[in-house]
Amino acid sequence: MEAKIVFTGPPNAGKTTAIGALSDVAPIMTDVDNNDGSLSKDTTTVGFDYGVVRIDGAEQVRLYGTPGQKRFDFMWQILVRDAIGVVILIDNSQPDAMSHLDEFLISLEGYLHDVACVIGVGRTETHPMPSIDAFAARLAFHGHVFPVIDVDVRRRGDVLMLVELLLTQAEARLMLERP
Amino acid sequence: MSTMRLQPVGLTEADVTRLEVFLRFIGKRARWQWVLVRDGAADLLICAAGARRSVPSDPASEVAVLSGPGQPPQHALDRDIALPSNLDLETFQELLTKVEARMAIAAASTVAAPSPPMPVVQAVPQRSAIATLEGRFRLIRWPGAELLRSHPKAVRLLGFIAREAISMDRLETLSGLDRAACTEIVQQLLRRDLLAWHATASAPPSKRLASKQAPATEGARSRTTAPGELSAGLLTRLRMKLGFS
Repeated sequence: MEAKIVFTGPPNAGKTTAIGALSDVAPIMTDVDNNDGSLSKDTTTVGFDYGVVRIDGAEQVRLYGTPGQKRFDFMWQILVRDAIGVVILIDNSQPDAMSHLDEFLISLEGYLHDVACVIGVGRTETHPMPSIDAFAARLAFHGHVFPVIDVDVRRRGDVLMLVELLLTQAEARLMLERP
Repeated sequence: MSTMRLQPVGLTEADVTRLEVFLRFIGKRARWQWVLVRDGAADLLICAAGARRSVPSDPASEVAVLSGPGQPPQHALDRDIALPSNLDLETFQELLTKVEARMAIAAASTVAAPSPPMPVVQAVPQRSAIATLEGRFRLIRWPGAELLRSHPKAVRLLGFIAREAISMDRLETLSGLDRAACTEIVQQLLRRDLLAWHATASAPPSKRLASKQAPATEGARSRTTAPGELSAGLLTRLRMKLGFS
């Protein structure tokens, strides 16, 4: 049984940075030069990012960052399967941030009933709209009750909060389903 | 996808057209499909301010009332949902979300306890619920980061009520918090309208039991391994490693 936490979201949302904030080893990245003119970054992930949180001895939790582009959505599902939880990162500075959330919720629909999930919305200081409330409403519209918080993934404390919210949900599920 | 029916009552053609545009925009993305109907049964009635009286005071449908131009949103009746006169897409979407939540909670409770007396479920709890904290509570929306950061103890408690409706006694046992701490957190959530209140004290069947009884068509969702197969010990050790309390 592999213990893993998955970071997903559109390109430039901060998945690689978030993994770097947590991982005990230098994250392994599969970035290539970006040739998508709509993205303001030099490289983008085409495989997945990988990091590790070493707990004790051989025990570890793997951290995966999915590629962001929609054409890789089959990988989102492969990686999320069996995960402790999935962090969906949204970049609020992108023109249609809300539809990005829709995209990931729809793609992961079959998994989100069994996997803990939290939404982290970035760059809200410069781009406050859509509001966090609007994201929460959209989430409810899809039939989910997950935490939605504003984050700056460059701050380790923010990334830890996302993970704590995942663990809280996973633990609650364990306890409630205990015979 | 469930189809929900929305019926305008006494609205101008311009307002009806606006609703149609909103529905076209969000209908493609929504999990619930809303359609606009001019008559017949409806799940949601959107009334002009002056048209509320033409609808029964306690209809089977949810009722939202648009305020008059220049007037603040007002509830015509306690359960009605008040809307501003200049209804925008975001507010409209929140309205649908609220109605869906009410219906989903009511439907879930009906399945959980089909025999009378039927549980009373309210998205907005009664004052008595806040005073006595009897019944069970379920989270309908997580609070924002500000509250989560200022009440770290609340986070663990929220995980439980996000999954199912839970009584105060059980919440105290599950969360490991004392009664006073649980009470304070629940009351804060109630004041922010983040909880649904179930009048009955008995819990519905657990989701595990429910999933075992679910039809085979639900099987596709079981492809993932439940976190229940993870050890609680691993999660605890991860929590300690990352410095969580």
